[in-house]
Amino acid sequence: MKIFLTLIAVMMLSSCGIRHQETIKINHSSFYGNKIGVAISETPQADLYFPGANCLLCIATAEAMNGSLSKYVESLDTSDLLNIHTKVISLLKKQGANVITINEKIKLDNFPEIDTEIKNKSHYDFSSLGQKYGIDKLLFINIRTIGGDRNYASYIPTGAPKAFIEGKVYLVDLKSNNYEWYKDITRAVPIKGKWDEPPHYPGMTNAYYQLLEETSDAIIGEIVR
Amino acid sequence: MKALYLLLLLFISSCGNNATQTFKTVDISNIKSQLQPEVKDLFLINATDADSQGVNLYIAPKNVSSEAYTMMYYGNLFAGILAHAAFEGVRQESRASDEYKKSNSSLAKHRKDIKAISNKFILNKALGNYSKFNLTTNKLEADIDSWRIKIAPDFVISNNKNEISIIARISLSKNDKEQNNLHSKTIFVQSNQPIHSIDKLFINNALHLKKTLSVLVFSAVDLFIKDSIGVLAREEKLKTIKYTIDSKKIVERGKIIFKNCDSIIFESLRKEIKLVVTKNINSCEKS
Repeated sequence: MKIFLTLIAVMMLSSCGIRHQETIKINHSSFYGNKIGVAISETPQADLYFPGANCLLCIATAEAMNGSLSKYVESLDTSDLLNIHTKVISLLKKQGANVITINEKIKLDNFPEIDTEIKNKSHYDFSSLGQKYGIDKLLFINIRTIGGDRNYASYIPTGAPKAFIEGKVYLVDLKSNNYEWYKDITRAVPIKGKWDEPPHYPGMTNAYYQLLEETSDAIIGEIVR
Repeated sequence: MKALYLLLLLFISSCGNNATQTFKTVDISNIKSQLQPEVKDLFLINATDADSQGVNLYIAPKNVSSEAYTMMYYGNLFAGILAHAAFEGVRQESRASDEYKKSNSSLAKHRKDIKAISNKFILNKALGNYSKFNLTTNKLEADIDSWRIKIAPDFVISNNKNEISIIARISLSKNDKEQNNLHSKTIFVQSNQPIHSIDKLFINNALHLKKTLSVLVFSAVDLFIKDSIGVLAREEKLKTIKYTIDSKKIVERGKIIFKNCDSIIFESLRKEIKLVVTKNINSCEKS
């Protein structure tokens, strides 16, 4: 099932022309004088990925080779991601912003896509959230994947696994659909010392929690005035 | 030095036969003041004069159960040996300080020269006291009565140039095949202390260095004994522990054993006991 889903994702990515969004630096004044809704995406389940294992048999081999670690990574708790949401809200409130907490977990598929080539425009139309919560802007923490990854060259691992997160954080003006802040929070944290220590993989566990902390710091660090 | 260890072993073996033996107590307030407050409450710390050169320390947990006695016996073996080394350092330090004070009052105009001489004296004494180990290579290692003791201090200088972190990784293990791993443990202790001049650390701050090292050895021994006799209770749940080394934020999962305003003792996922500084001691005092 996992192999099938990975293949579908690879096919979809190669068929679509994905518009690359460049970083937009934070402008603190954007957070003030408007009602800002702060939301986080549905928390993904932690998983282990094998970039570079790009054939069906390669993925199957990588899965088999890393079965125990893969199972362990899937068991890692992702609920700490929600703390980032809480921290952002609390910081913005402390700094005097007019913040509305959006507790529902946002699923991008539920929002209409915007077909535009205009630079710095949101890919999704979040205006329904504007009406629902009475907000002018949306600060969205979008975590797409979390867990770990291990690079492969087809069948051969090219390094040790790492803790890995892929995501974006952005501020969208719901009237214009313009991004006012856009930051890629994708990052990896290498494992310190040994990594192959089943069944509890302390190296991977520590790297994973370090990753959560660094992600939180990266977002909070920019919002702090 | 060998005679001291023999005396210490004799002393310990005599303790093994009589748990209630009393000892001639000497003034060890200097050491006690360096111990963590919770250690003071949990342990009886006594000392006997072995000869004019040194003192044997006896560290015993309060209200030790009979079941834990065997464990405690081995624990004290380490404690005695390591504490002896550390205590000897403190003794010399205090003597040197007194000498310096006296000289200082009568020879104020030669203060600089005297200080330099005093500090060299302290440094030499410090190295002498740890001669059983090899401090010059930053690795303290010894085989004592089939126990292998390794102390590996790392010196980390922080960015703010007013503070130094000294980290010691202390491993205690028994070479005996039958009892292998029975008492094998790695203890990681960290200390953040302000210093006046990093450049002159190894000369002018030898006293400070030695004091910090003594505190670290004591902390490790205390933790080792507590853990051996089961005094250390871990929290059930794993927590995320954050601390800094050289201004770098470290995040680790572990079970918290003890926590106060500036430090945490926890068991890491690799089953190491760690004492780490979580907050600057000075800011802790302010809060």
